[in-house]
Amino acid sequence: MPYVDDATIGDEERLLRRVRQGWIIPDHNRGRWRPSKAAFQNSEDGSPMSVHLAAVLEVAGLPLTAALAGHEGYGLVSLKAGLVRALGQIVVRDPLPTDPAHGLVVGNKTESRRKQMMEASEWVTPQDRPLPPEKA
Amino acid sequence: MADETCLNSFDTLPSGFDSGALSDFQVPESSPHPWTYSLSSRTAPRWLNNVLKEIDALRHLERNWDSYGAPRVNRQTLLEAANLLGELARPRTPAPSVVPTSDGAVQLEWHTRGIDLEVRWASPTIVHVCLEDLSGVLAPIDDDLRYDFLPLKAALRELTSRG
Repeated sequence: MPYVDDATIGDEERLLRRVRQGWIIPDHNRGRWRPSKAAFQNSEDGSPMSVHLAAVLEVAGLPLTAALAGHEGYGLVSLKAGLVRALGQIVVRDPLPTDPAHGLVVGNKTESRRKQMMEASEWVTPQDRPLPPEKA
Repeated sequence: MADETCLNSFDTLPSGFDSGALSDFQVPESSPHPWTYSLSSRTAPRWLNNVLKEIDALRHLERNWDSYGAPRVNRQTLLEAANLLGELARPRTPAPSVVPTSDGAVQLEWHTRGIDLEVRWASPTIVHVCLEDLSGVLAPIDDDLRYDFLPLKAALRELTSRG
C-alpha cells in the first residue's frame, strides 16, 4: 500500500529517533558527540525508518524520553518533520497497540539525505560528557 | 601490497583467516583472540588491536541489535574492513569509530584533524567513501569504490600527516 504524507503532522513537529550507544560517536572537528549517519536509515527489509511523534507523547502527558522505554543506554534525537519532507520523505502515523506515538519516515535515504538528517538532528538526551582524547 | 590482496574471499572467520593477506601482521597460532595480532610498532598504530577487537565484536550482535529490526552484521564485510584498516593504518593515523549499520554492514568513521571520513563496506568488494575536508585540501568524495582504493589511501595519508 503506498504511503501518503500525513498533513496533520505539521512541519514543526518533532520526530524522535533512538540512537544506540555505538552510533554516538566523537566529532573532534566540532567538539561534540554526533549521531552517526547510520542512525538515519530504513530497515534492511525495506520497511521505512521508525520514529516517535513527540506531539503524541506530549498529549499523553509523557516525557519525550518515553521513546526510550526498554532501551537502556540509547540516546534520542529529534528531527523536524518539515526537514525530512524537504529531503523527499513522507511522514506518516503508524500507531502500534503498545506504541501509539509510532510513526514512519518513508522514502529513499541516500548518503546525502542521511547526512542532512544527521546535521539537522538535535539531541533530546544531552550528550555533555567530555570527548575522549584522540587515539593515535 | 596490492589492493587486490585485500579482496580475497573468506568462507569463515577467523579460523579461515588468510594471514598472508596481512603482510605486516603475524597471526599467532594460539591467539586468545581471533583478531589479535603481533604488530610491528614500526608499521601499525597502537590502537589497531583494540579497534580490530571492536570490529570482531560486531559478529556477536544479534538480530534487531539496533532496536529497529537490523539483521546480523555481515561477517565477510567485517573481515574486509579489518583487512583494509590493517593495511592502511599507520602509527600516527587516528583511531576510527567502528559503526555497524542497519543493513548489516560496517562503517569506520573519522571526524578529526579537519577531515570527516566515513568508509562503509556495503559488500566485500564495494566500499562507499564519504570524505569532506574542512580545509579544502582534499576534494570531496561521496562514491562507491570498487577495487581501486587510491582515493581512500590518499585520504588516510592526509589524515595521518596532520597528526
